[in-house]
Amino acid sequence: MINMEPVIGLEIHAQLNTRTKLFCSCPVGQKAEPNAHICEICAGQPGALPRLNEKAVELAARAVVALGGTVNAFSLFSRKNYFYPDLPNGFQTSQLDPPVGSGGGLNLALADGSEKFIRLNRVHMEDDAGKCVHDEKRDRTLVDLNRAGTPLIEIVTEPDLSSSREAMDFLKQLRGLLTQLEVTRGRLEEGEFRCDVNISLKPVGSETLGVRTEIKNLNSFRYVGQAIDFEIRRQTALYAAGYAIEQQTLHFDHLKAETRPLRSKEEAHDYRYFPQPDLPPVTVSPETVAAIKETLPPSLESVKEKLIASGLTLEIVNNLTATPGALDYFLAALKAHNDPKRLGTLMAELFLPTIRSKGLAPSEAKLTPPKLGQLAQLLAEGKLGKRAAYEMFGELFASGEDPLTLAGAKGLTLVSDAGPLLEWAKEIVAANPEETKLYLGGRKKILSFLVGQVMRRSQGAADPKKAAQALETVLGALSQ
Amino acid sequence: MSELWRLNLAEALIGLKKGDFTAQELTQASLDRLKAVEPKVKACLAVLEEMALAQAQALDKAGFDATAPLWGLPVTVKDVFCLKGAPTTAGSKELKGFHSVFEATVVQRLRKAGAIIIAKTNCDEFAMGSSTEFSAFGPTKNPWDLTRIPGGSSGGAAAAVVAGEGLGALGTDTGGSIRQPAGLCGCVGLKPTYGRISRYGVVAYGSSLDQPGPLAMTVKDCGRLLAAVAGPDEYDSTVSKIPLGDFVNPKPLKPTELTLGLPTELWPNDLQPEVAKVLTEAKSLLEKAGVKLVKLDLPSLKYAVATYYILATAEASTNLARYDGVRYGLRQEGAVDLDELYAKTRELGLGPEVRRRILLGTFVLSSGYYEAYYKKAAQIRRLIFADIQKALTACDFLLSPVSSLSAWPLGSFLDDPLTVYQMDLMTLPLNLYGGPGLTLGAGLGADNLPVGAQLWGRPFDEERLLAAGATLESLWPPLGRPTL
Amino acid sequence: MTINQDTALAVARLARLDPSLDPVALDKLTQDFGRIVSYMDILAEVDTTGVTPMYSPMLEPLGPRPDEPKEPDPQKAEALLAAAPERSGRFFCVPRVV
Repeated sequence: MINMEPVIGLEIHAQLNTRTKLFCSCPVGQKAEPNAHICEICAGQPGALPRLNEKAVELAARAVVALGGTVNAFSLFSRKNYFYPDLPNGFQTSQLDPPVGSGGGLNLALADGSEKFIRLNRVHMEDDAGKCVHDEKRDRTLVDLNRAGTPLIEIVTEPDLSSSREAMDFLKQLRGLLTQLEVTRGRLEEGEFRCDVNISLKPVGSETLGVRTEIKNLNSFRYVGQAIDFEIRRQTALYAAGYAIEQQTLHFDHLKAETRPLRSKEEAHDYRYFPQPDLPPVTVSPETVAAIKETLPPSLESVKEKLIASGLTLEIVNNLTATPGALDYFLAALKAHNDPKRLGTLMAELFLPTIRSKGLAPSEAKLTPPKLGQLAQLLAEGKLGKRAAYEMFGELFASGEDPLTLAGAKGLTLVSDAGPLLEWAKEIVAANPEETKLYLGGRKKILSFLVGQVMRRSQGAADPKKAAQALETVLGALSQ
Repeated sequence: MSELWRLNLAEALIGLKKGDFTAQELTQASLDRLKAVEPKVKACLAVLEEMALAQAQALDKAGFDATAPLWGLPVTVKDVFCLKGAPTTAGSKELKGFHSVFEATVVQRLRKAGAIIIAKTNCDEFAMGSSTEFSAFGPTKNPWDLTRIPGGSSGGAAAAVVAGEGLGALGTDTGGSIRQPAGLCGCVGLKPTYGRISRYGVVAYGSSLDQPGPLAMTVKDCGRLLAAVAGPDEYDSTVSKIPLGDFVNPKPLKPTELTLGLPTELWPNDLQPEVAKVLTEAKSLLEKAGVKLVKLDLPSLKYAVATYYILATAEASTNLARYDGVRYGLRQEGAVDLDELYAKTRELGLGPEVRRRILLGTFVLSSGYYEAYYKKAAQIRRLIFADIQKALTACDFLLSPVSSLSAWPLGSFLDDPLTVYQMDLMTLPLNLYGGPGLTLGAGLGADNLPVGAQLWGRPFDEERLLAAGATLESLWPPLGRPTL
Repeated sequence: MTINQDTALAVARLARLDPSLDPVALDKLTQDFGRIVSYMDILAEVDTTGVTPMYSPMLEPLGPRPDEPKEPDPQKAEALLAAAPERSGRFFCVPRVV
């Protein structure tokens, strides 16, 4: 039997990070009652006309530039015609030819440390449809148009991916980049970053692509992986049994982890695309592209390199870049206390696990970046012990209080006042005559034992450095 | 009954300013006239009596305002303009009783200019037609002969102006829908350049062709109406930023300063004899006054009708996809599933001509036919544009008939859509081109029906077009109004 | 090109126009449609090689608008919902989509 290998392409829909819809001034991304954020334009009323949101164009162009594509100086919106209750105009306004961006790609970091360049075919803008809710009991479908008109970019890759692992890693990397650039907020659970997967099999080494299927609307990386794996198994089994693969659109049932045809009777689509006459061509000048290039933050790759050079481990760096907003938070915290290693550890071990468990974005945490910086500083200055810091972190995160204040209130700050330290030191020296003799005889290393005794005596509240100084003072007095 | 309805806009404005009569008296006179003739003419789908009188009263109370260019002037708008307080039906059963949640930009500008909207006028359903016979609410009659059509699709607007139901009107023109009825009813009608007036709040037919415009008894009145509603609008991104010009007092053009081109394709030998006779006389009046007439060729016009009907119906087929019975309008009850709901609703709500055009437009965009029809037509549009553009460098304006027939008897062509489409040849090339066009009466035929002539101008050249129109108007016999 | 009943029906379906006509009506529709399409075929004689299509005559149009939200208008939203032939609470309502 011929060995087959999968050929995978992705179509990613990312919601653009704008305040208003693509063609009207209704707000986007705010929680609202059904059909509260609608107007004559996004609700497809007779006589209404679209007017393009300039921010959407800017964000789309930013994505194209960051992905190394060509921003087309001139692109067109077209009408994509089909009937559906959540599509108020009877057409979606999308870009066919030319789109806002062509070409480009992303260097995908593979598990073995090597890289693979995934080419992009195009990036185009389009508006989202509304939402349908199915009321099975009453046999009705309910339509909410709040989402109708929300600006999206669709990023279409070439079929350059060859496994579910690659597809998932690509999506994570792409999402990391687009959220870092604030092109999209990228919240998966809100449907702000979702994708369709095209998948086919071809004989190993062959250039000819097989018949492909398309799995629609996946909004979790895990589902992408599961859907691809299921579809590879299904297609392979069909080939092996000598059946033809049928070109069809599939839906992924995440409960059963399997793909199924989306429509019972497959209806041939004829979208009748043609240029949308109500919208002027979209123009992006070379000056605008140059300006975008200037304002683009350094690429994720170079930021990662810098962080590793500053002493962070690759694991911590990946941890920081995998959570949207985490890198920004980290960089802001660095401004308060420039100690990448200590802060990176705090992020990886305390902050990120906590926000993940609470389902928050870094920017939503009450504990602000400067306060995390202060915490690092307290540790560095020895005002707070590591154990104490970990102990109080839960409360610190929940309250967003000043770390020093909270540590003080909880009695966790280290005692560094000479008074009590000297008292403890005298006590310990008196209680350990043997060790004192050895120290005075020249065995200076025995000091750390004595410090340990002071720490125990103080129940961990003593600042170890200051305790050592106090002991040296007491012992020094004895030797004279 | 007060005869104030007989005044044109300019005369009425002087009377209002001098205080000879009030806005309420003028509005009441127009409304009285409307009620008296409407049973015969059927130009209106809704009369906004209460709203109009309240507005007139408010204006009178505040006193004459010279900064409001249409202060106290009663006008009508075609029923494709969205406004609050009355239904907007576009002549379709689908939108019977439909109330828009917003007002068209031009309606807002009319109000701001002090105009009083007294009625919404009848039209072919969704502005698709040349006779107003495709209105779901019955045809409008030509005020000159009630057995004949007024033209269309803005037939209600033209009939209302001529019958004295309002002193001016706003219509829309996609392939001649202002100019042809103005010609057949004997008033003045202006289709401005595409992008001169906002289409926001105008129920769409063909989005790259539609353009609102004024109808009135004189060229000057059309200029005054245009000035009040034209110009950029933040809600229609196809409106141009090109400066407007002085439409109220355009710089006059003497007959001797005018060279008019006569395209041979638009002056065929088979014009209806009454039409040919009036136009021949009109041309000789121009020549006697010193207007230079030159013959020229526009060979690409041979393809204009096919090109237009492909592009217009393609755009219409998707503009009308929104009439699906989900969010507003008519819905056929009892459908078992969504597809049946769509199909039954659209079958019930949309008339035969509209369905015919949706069918044609869907076909020319569909897979396998797009290149041969839609794209081909868009390419030929470019050739037609270039042809007309070139012709307009050899002369100041083109002069053509508006229709090869004068107003025909109701029902003449109902079963022959293709023939009616072909009759639009005189007007629709201008919509493909985008430039402005002005229709005015050239004379009355032996059959006592008006015959119109049409000037074609370069894009955004409305000021000069109005000046040239006023010159022709002064040289040709006034048509007056029919007796009703 | 000639239009047969199958083509006429397929296009009617695509346009969501009820194609459930009686045979006489369908025949008439197909004929009218066919005559018009045949007339359109005149365009085939024009050589359009290298001609850029003209989709709109617009000149110097307004640019895009700023990304500034308008306050949601509850009255307008309610009016939009109220216009629906069928509504359920704050939703537009249609027969269930499978």
